Amino acid sequence: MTSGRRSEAVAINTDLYWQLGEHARLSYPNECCGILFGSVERSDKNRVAVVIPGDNLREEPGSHYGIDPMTLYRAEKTWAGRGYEVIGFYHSHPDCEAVLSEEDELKMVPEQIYLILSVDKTGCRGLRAWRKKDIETDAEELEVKRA
Amino acid sequence: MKIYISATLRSFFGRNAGLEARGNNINDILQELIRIYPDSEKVLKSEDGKPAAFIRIFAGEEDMTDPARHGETLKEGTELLFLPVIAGGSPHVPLVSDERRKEVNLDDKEIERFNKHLLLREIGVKGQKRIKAAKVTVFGAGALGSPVIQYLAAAGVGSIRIVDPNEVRLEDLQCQVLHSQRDLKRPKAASAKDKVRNINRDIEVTAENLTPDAGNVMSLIEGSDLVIDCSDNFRSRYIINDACVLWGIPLVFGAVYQFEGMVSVLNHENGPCLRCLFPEPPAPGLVPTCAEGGTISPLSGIIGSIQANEALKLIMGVGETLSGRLLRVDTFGLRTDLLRVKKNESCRICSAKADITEVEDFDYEEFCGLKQDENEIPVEGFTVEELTHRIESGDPLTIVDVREPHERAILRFPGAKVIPIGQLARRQNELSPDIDTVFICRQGKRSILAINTLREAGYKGPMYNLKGGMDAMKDVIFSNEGGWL
Repeated sequence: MTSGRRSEAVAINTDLYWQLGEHARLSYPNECCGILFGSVERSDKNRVAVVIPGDNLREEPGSHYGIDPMTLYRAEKTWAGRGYEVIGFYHSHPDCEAVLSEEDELKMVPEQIYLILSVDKTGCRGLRAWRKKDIETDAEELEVKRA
Repeated sequence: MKIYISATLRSFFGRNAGLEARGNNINDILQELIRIYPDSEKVLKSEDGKPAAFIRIFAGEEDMTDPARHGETLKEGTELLFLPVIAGGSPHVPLVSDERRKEVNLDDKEIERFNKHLLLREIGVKGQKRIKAAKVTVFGAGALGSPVIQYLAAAGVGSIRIVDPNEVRLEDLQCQVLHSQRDLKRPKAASAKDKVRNINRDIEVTAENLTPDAGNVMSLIEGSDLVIDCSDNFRSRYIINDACVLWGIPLVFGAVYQFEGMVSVLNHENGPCLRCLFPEPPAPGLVPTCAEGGTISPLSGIIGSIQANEALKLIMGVGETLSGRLLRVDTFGLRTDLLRVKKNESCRICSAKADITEVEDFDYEEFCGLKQDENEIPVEGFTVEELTHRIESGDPLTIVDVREPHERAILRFPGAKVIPIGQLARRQNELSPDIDTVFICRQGKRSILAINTLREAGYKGPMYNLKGGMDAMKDVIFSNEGGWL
């Protein structure tokens, strides 16, 4: 970054990045959503190690997303045994920029990484990452490293 | 009681995944948790005593987040789960981007002028700057254009282009509150421009005294963030819609007729366009414009004000808009309906299967499949002068008035036989085939329909149409009859 302040970054490898893009593309014009896991052993909370696609249960899936919290509960139990822990979530914005909406920001869980994919009928157009440090603070953008 | 904390929430609970807490209802357990982990209070009981917006509390498989259920006694052995909400919605992207917003400033006068906007959290300085940076084109400075143009100007829209080909007539003053008696016979666009400048001199306003057509429409809307359709005819509506789709500019659509109006936001965020809603316009002459069919004075004020309100929300990217929905207002029964409208996957202009790639100066009559057949005998007509001459010279002549009763009440045609179109075929024996018959209506269109109806029914006598109808007649005779209110 050009500013003196060191910005935190989220790392994701090319395969997983492609997997997210495909999920967004195939769900278009609806929003896709899912859960991101990181490896406990590597103790790197900023590296995506596993991507679990979720079902979008909202009534207006073209402009909203929602995953059953019980899906997360089961996924956490399954993946904890293999050494992975939730580090955040992802969802797509069809025909829209990859920025947080009011509802996105309101429902953000502090410290979790939120990846947003911008997608249109031609495919995935970009990926941006957001995080809220604490309940009271505003969300900030994180750099995305594809490595 | 056994408690499971999702990994996403553990930082508030001393990084523990599994806990035990005493209590047999959620209230007691929450208190106990807050006592042990003070950090968890802001999650479990945020400002208003409710759990934070991003948390869900499950007892077994059941969602018990609602505080009303926190007093219920839980079954022995139930596991209490603290899970995050995983949900969100698409953002409304403002039509005026952050970059353009940052380029404008509000001076002291503007801060005073727009104080009531600045007080609204949803608008504030950022929203007002977006409004100031916005460029809007309004087609029509008549009934709907009046409130739209005035509210856009009052709200501080920085650049307004007004397109209208007509001049202000006396009958326009009944509902076109933008114009006044001193504006009679002036172009509406110029009159509207003056009104905008009276409201706020800083607004950049351009007046175009033009009818939108294939040749000019693209340049009229070029560079606009938003287009507002306040026109009163189907030809303009389809040309404006097609141009907006091709430029990718959202369109606020409005229409009024008698006591009813409708509003929608078209071509926005992948929503439907006008052709998705109405693939084809109704046949010419079947649906009168409000100039012919009439409209109650405040109706256009209601519909136009909603159009202006939608426009401001779109510019700022706030609130819920009418994209994908059509609001219908019936001011007579005082009812409203909000209809869901969908994008047509085989729309001729905005779908993947679109075959229209440029604005066509289509022939409205051909578009409706009503273009006169080449073999059809053309209808002969009299001009007002020819008819006056025939009457004055005393030639035998039958005059048939096919207008509706309430139209005749405004202005009668002395000596005319009254036969509504629907009864013509049945009552053709009341006409004499040896005498010339002239058919009259308000604008000389329904009279053509009347003649063709009679021809089909086998009537053989000579028939003529009064060109321009009663509208053309009113300046020549009858001036002493009053009536044109």
